[in-house]
Amino acid sequence: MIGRIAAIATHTFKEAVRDRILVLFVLFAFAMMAASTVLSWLTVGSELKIVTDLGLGALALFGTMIAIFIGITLVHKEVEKKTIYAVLAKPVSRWQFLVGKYCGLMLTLAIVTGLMAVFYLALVWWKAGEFPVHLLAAVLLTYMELSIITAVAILFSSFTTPMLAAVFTVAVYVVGHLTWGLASFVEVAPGAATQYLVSMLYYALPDLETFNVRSRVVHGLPVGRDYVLDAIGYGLAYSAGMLTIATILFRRRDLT
Amino acid sequence: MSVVRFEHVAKSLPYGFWLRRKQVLLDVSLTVERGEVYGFLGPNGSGKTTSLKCLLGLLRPDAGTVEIFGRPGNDPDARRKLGYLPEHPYFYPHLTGRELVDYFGRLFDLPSDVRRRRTDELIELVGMADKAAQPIKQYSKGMMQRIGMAQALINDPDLVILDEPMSGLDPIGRREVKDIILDLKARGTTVLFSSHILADAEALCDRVGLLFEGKIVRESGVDELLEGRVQYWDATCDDLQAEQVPGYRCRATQGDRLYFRITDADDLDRWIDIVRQAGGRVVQVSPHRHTLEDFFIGTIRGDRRLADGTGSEGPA
Repeated sequence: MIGRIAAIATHTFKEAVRDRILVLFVLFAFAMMAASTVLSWLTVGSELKIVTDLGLGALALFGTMIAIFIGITLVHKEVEKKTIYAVLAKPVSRWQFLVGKYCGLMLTLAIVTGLMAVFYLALVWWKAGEFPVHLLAAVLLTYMELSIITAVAILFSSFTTPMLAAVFTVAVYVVGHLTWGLASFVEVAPGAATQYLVSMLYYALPDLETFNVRSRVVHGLPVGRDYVLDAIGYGLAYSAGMLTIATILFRRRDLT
Repeated sequence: MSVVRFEHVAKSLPYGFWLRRKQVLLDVSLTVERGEVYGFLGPNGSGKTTSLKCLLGLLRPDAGTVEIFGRPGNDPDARRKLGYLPEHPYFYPHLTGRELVDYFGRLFDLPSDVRRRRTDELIELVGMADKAAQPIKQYSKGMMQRIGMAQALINDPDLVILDEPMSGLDPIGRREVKDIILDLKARGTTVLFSSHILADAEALCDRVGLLFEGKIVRESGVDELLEGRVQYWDATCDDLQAEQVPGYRCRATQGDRLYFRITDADDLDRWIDIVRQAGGRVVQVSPHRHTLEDFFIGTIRGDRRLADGTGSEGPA
């Protein structure tokens, strides 16, 4: 079972890295990080903050773009190009296929995020004169955010076209950065029913701001170990939930 | 226990903008027994691929049951000893032929040394040894079909399902695929293949099922279908004139050679007697049997004369 998932994952990884678009994304991310140093010359006294903030922003932005761009086509492309027939005629169940695809894209994102992080951390190290250990937590949490976005993209990819999947995933991404507002709204919402509905909505949608510690690390504030572990746990649980729903939908689907 | 069993399988598929459903399979029932080569025949659009997809769990039948080795088709474990070549195989363009076969071997959890050995053997078997390192995007249709055949056999299957295995192949390729099927048969592997090329089916199959408009309209052994179905005999004799063979219409003459067409076995006996008694020499008597194609066309047209082989053309 694990062998099959690993086979699908490494195949998905291979497919992604042989695609030139990925290289292009990474180069753009490098360029944007490098450009942040130029931009920092325009500010007096906060050069380091600009480099730290924009660099982390670029890492999150390009990571998200890759997760959405590849994630939305992962399942659809296999169905559209009919490559899935030969795969699912093997002793591979549909959940193994989806989990394999997910792990493959997460492996790709780990490598890509890792590369961007090395470039980013080196840049900040060069600017600050010391290795920015505190930024590692921010990079890790960004990766966890990507794990949720990837799971959401695969969920939509398992039953709709890439175009619609892209729209839905971007919508979830945007809403996901605003759901923290719902948490505070629960307390002031009138009536128990409304409170229940709002809290249900809050739990159904991802709270992506959990993974955004940029403003904290930029200003040198520490991110606690417990916070990081909680966020990782949340990311894993939410992704698993999305993949479970994706499997339920995908299992029922006729592959015509 | 049958290797493959369809029992009253029905399936409709959505089409068009409003996703209206079209009944593709009405009632498909058939069994494939261990070790036999079964030809799943039918014109384009009759539901062959849909049936095979139901069998492999790619489609969920609306009604009826499908089983492979006595297990439901959508049970992944049922597919452990199964090889499948899709119709017009599409494979990952970024992989090389060897990588593709190896990848599918991994999906069967084959250990790497077994995978490597099998991959080499199969690539050799399908005649792709010198092309296996090329990316699949550079493959022609025929090469794709060959590498598809190799991946279908990677797990040394007990049941091989081939959806139109000859399509897109040149005569050499077709010969090679036929040889592979015959070789599988000799090793006791069960083969289920769909085709609309009847000559191939006639040469390879033990039994055939004829699918038309979503229903199995005939199912029987190939020999049984064709046995004794002599449509007519072409009979030729020398050293006689047409008038010396009364009661038979001579179709053509060439010098003192006469050509006849006789549709009844008793008439043929009588013709031979007459020729001999008149001092002539029987040069040739060749029977023309019904081909699977006649049977096929006859059945789908509802033409009993062709379907049953009971056509007659009496003596003149």
